[in-house]
Amino acid sequence: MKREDILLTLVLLLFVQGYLFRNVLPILLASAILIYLIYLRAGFSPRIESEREISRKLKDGERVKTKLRVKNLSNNRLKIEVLENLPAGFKAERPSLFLDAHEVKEVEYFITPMRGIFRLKEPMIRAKDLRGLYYEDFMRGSESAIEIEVYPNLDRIREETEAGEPLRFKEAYQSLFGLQTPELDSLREFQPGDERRHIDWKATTRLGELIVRDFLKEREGDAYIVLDAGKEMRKGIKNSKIDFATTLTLQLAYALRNYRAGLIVYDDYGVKRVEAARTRGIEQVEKMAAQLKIGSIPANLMGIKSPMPVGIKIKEESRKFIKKILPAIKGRRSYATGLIEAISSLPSTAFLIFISDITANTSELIKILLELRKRYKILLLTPNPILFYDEARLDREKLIWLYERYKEREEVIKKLNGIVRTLDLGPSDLLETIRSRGVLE
Amino acid sequence: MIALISFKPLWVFRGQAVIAAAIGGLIAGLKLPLLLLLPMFVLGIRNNKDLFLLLFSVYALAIGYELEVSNLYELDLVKVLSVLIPTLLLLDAGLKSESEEETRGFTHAHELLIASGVTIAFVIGWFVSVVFVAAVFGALIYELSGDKARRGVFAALISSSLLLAALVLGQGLLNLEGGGATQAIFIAAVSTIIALMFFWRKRDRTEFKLYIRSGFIL
Repeated sequence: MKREDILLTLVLLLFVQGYLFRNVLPILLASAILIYLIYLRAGFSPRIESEREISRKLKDGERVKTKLRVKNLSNNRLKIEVLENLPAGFKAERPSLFLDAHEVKEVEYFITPMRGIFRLKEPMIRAKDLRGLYYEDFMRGSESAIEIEVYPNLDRIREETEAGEPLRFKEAYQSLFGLQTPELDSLREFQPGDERRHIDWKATTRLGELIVRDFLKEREGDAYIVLDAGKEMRKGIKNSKIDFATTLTLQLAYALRNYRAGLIVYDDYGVKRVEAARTRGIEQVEKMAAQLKIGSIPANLMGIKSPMPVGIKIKEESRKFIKKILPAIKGRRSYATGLIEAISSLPSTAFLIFISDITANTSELIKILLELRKRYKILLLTPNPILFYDEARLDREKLIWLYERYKEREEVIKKLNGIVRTLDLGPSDLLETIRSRGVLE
Repeated sequence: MIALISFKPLWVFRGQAVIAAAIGGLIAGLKLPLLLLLPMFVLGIRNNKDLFLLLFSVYALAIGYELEVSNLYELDLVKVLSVLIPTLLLLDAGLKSESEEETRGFTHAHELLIASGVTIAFVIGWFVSVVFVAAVFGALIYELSGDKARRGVFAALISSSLLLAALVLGQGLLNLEGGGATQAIFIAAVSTIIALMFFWRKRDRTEFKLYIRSGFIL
């Protein structure tokens, strides 16, 4: 029901009252109210012009001041309400003001954006009459929309990181090697990263250097590193993901030297090398290192899928057909991918550390992980291609494109984390640790 | 003087409207509707237009119940106008929005003078009804003039002229003994036809949302 309807109902009731009571006064009152309504209706003819000023580059979640210039082109005094028509997730204040005839006013209010690139439409201006009975909405056409870029807010990310929201690699690193038991295994020299509370002070004073206690781990059994050496991992001239992945594998192998650790290397066409988990110690680490002879693909592309060139479109049927015949053309034995072959080489029980790209064959990876997690404990380490991108090659378009991929990837990571513990890694993760332990030398 | 300056003009206007309605009601000998004036004033101050509209409807119906005019052509014009015009003034005051400027107090001396003059005229009008009607009519015109709604004024003038013309022309048929019902039907019909002339144009209309302070109840 509208406010005007209340008055019209009153008019009707007064008409009825006047007729039933044979009284002219309610009829006169009703007519007076009706004329008053006619006066308001006919007198309300607003015309509004508005223009918004807002910065084109905003930060995610940070309130930004927007300035709106509103001009009343009519002869009426109006009450103006600013109604923002923002993309989903944005928040805005709802300012209101009064405008005299032909008056121009500037109103400032705040908008809280969320990250991404958006086309921001002009706000809807609602002009109301002073009695609050009528209104008219004014909105400029879509040609007035402006493009804004909302960047991730570094301060916010920092706060979230400090709050411990993201999964930290250090935590996973510790959990990877099992929970320590109070049972002492051995004494060794202190190395950067060791906990200070594990320093054996008696041995330290006796030997004159920092000595730490190593404890026995709860977890026993084979550990397998399953390394993806596929096309997606090998793309790139420098900073390729496979370089990082091999370094990481070596580091993991060294860290797992007290366990029976094995290595499986696979690519798009099958399993390349297998080093079964037979022994433990440095000798096994060296054997595994020997298996890591993987070169990078000297391509212009970095380790992420490039957008399809404009104009080339492959139909869904053609795509399916190519997918079926490609393995046969490239000499693969069957339709099964390298990953499926790799997991068929695994023993019945083991702790699995997958180092893989998740942008290629994501659905297959998810299916396999869902199946494997029933029998194995799994950790998935995935080099983030965005972090491996060559900075010198960045421009605005690439940055936007990378950002879109980054958002998609975040979703995939979230999904994978629901299946197995998944860590997103950059080129500097663990490198310092490896260097400090002398593994690279 | 300083105390008066601190008054908010719209509050004064609403206060004047209530005083006018009270004096007009007393001139016409009303009792029951006057009881509703205080809550209407409070709702006006709180800017609760929807509840005000409901209460105003009750007030208008109560006036029609208490004050009787059986023949349009033999009515006491001053008495009727002393009720009708303050009622319209009250409706306008209750619906009018309060802007930031209006909450700051009087900015011009002439506004204060007019406000004081109108209030004094109302009081004098208690004794001289014609003065009261003139003062209330002046106050209504003054308030509406702020809208600068030329089209509205034009439409209102046309409507009232047409209604008056119809009543004058129909006097021969309507001015009969016990013709109150016929007059009522005639005025209602003419008013409705006139209104339809101006109501054909579609307008976005504000929603009626009845609420009390804690939340909506309708």
